[in-house]
Amino acid sequence: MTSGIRDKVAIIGMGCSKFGERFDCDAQDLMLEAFIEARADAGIETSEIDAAWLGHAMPELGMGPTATPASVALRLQNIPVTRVENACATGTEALRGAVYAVASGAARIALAIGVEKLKDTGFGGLPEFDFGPRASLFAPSMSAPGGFAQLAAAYGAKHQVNAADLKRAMAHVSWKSHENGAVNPKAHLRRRVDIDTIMKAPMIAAPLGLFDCCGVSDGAACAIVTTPDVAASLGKKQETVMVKALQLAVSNGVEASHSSWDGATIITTRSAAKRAYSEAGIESPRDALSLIEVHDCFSITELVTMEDLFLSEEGSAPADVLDGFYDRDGGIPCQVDGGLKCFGHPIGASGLRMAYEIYTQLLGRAGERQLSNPVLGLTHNLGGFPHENVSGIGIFGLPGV
Amino acid sequence: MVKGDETTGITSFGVYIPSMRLQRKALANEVGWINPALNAYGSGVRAICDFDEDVITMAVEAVRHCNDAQALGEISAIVAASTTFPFTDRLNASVVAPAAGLSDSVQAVDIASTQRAGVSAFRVAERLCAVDGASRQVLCVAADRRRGRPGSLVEMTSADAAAAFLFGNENVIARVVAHKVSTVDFVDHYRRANEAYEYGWEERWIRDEGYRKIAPPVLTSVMEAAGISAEDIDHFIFSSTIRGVAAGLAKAIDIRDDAVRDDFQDVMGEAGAAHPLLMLADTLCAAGAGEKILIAGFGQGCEAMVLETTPLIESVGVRHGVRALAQSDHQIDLPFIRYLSFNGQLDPDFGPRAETDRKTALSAAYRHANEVARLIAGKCEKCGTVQFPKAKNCVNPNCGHEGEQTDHALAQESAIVKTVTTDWLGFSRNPPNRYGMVEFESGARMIMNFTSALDEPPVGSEVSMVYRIQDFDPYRKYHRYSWKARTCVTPYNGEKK
Repeated sequence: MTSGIRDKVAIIGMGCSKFGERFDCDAQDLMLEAFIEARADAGIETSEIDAAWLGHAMPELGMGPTATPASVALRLQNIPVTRVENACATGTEALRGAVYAVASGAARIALAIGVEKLKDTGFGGLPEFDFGPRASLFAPSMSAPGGFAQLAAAYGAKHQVNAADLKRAMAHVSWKSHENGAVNPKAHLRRRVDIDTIMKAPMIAAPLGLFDCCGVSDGAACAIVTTPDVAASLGKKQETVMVKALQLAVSNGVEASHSSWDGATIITTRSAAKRAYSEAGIESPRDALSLIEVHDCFSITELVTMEDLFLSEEGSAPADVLDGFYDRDGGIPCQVDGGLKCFGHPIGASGLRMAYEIYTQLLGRAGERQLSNPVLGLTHNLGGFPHENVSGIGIFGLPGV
Repeated sequence: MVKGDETTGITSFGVYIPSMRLQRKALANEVGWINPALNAYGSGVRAICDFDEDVITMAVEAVRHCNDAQALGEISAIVAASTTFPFTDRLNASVVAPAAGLSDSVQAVDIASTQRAGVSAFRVAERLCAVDGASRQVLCVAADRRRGRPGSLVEMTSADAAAAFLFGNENVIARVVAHKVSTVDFVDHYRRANEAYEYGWEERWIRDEGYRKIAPPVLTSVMEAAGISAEDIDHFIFSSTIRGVAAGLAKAIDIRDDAVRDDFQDVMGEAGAAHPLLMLADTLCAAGAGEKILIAGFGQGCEAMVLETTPLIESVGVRHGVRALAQSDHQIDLPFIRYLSFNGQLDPDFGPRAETDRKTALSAAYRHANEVARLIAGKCEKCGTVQFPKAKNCVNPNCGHEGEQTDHALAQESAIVKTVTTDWLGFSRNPPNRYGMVEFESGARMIMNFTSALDEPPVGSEVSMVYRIQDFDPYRKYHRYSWKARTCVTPYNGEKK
């Protein structure tokens, strides 16, 4: 039995660049933008950082391999810097590294920074994925929306939801995120979109239309973490957010190769969620969580995730979504910052961006989009495809919660 | 006289006609401005390959469509024929063999370079089978996909298709009783190596100096060798896109008018070197016992055979002939522009994702050759779970047994669609790209492309496996093959009506 990470590590500073089509910036510029904000927030000098983790998922599009570009861009002091990559869960992976370093005592203060520069490809959407020389022998050239669109087919078949009803619920997911993104100054997509426009948008990968897909963005986000004692010594006691749980679950081939998976759930999310709730001491997440930031790469992903996080009953996510349970004035506001959908999805930064919003909300700094008295928030960061993926879950709360 | 002469003959056959169709009227509308004479050919349809089909994939299908294909047993040799093999230095028959379920000990031979290649391959396979008699089985498969320059008569008349014949020494349905050949460098048309298109001479000259002078002596002498006269011929198979050639030859050598076999020009076109064999397969669907068939291939001379059906031909029963296959319900009309782009005759902008490097690691491909070409999954020796890809540790979460798994071939198993999407974003040379997860009867599952259908297959529907081109590498001119799922079960001539 492990003791878990709960309350062992405090976040003392966070930063997030403006997300979007940052044609004016390199990845290095985006990192520096996020870092300067976080360092000021933490009230520390660069020299006080003992170790850093860089999350950067697509180095061939951004700044190349190794952690060197981050160390150079931030002028880190020849400290250990580790580059991590776990597809779209990369940001959470970077945070895990920094948090565990602090918890172990290996580092007094650690930095997690995630970045992605996706808009130097010359086209919209992500480039083709390379599955390596073996899988490419028989695997279709699957796009990200195509991978996740299959969830809709399987979910509809499993729960006997007709395609039109499911599409309508998915449209509400996106509509809500556009409403939220409109009031977030750092969000990539800030335009409200009506349901009808969402429903009638051009098809990308059936049944996902244009507005069922998240923004492909440039951006960076970062966190500075330390122990509660160090946080207190820095005078940060009233302005820290505690890590309550940090879990990761990775597919082992069952979904792709064994008939036990129905194609309508994300097995790893369920596994990571159970462990995270246990680690954080949460018995009823639907009652306990003040807000959530989930991996809404596509509307159907968010919808299915509500069940995988045990927030909606099996088969009832569409009803909860349509009832507005996950709207900003609902039972559990989801994506109050706009989510991947509208804040944007610079892959390596996303897990940290989610944590940034929870942190900002918990500290009451969210301005126009501030929720009333949130105390506990969850991030869910998913990399890969439904049949083979990485799920990262973080739970963050105010001290004493 | 060799040992197998008394016993060797055809034991099984299969035909494959792709589902794609090009309406000649639509084609004439597009190219008639270049040569108004083409409008005279503007009726009927051409059967053509889908974007992911070629000679190899069609050949695989024809072999799989042989009657009782799963019970073919050990085959000692495969002779493949085509004038449009995708590779000139890679044994094409060796690509067909594993996908068609043949063992590694098979002898494989390609026969190419002439329109009579199909008939030559038929004869070579028959002789290989006869050479030592006994239980030897030899396969012949011919396939072609000639491409003419847009606006040419070849473009208007040719088709893509394949036919396969299995020779053995037991349960023979037809035997070769005589064979004659002449080899003459008569250049009615030619295509140099590495050229896309052929160059041809005037039809009237080909008809008068070629067909009418080169074929008759061979046809006459083969009947003489068989000890029969022209009126004994029940079926005369002679393929030519020049109208009236077969009937004219029949008249010239006194073969009955009604013995001249249908060439299916109206419902599919002429499938190059494979066409005489397609016509033969069709003839066997209709022939009774003891009937005499005269078949010839023409190209740089003439090669002819007399065949005689045995009483076992009746066991074939009433089967789908070529006309019925060509006119089945699964035809999909292709617009001309799309057809041209499938064949690289037009180079449309497939978008930036088309730039992705699709290099095949030949070493990895060889390492997984069985997995890919034979669609081999693994079966856990402990719990029996069938899984793809084959592994050294069982995927069943309740088992996890570590150890070698036994081979389990999936290509002939039907499967059910579990998930599906129609993807407009991911690259395909035939957008939209359709794929999803399928689950086989054995429980194995994999994510694969759906092909040759107008719409996505619904979750829960049944699909079967087809061998297709998986990816094209435009930089290195390599394409690799794999299995895809197809919704409709196209009727084949191994299937009794």
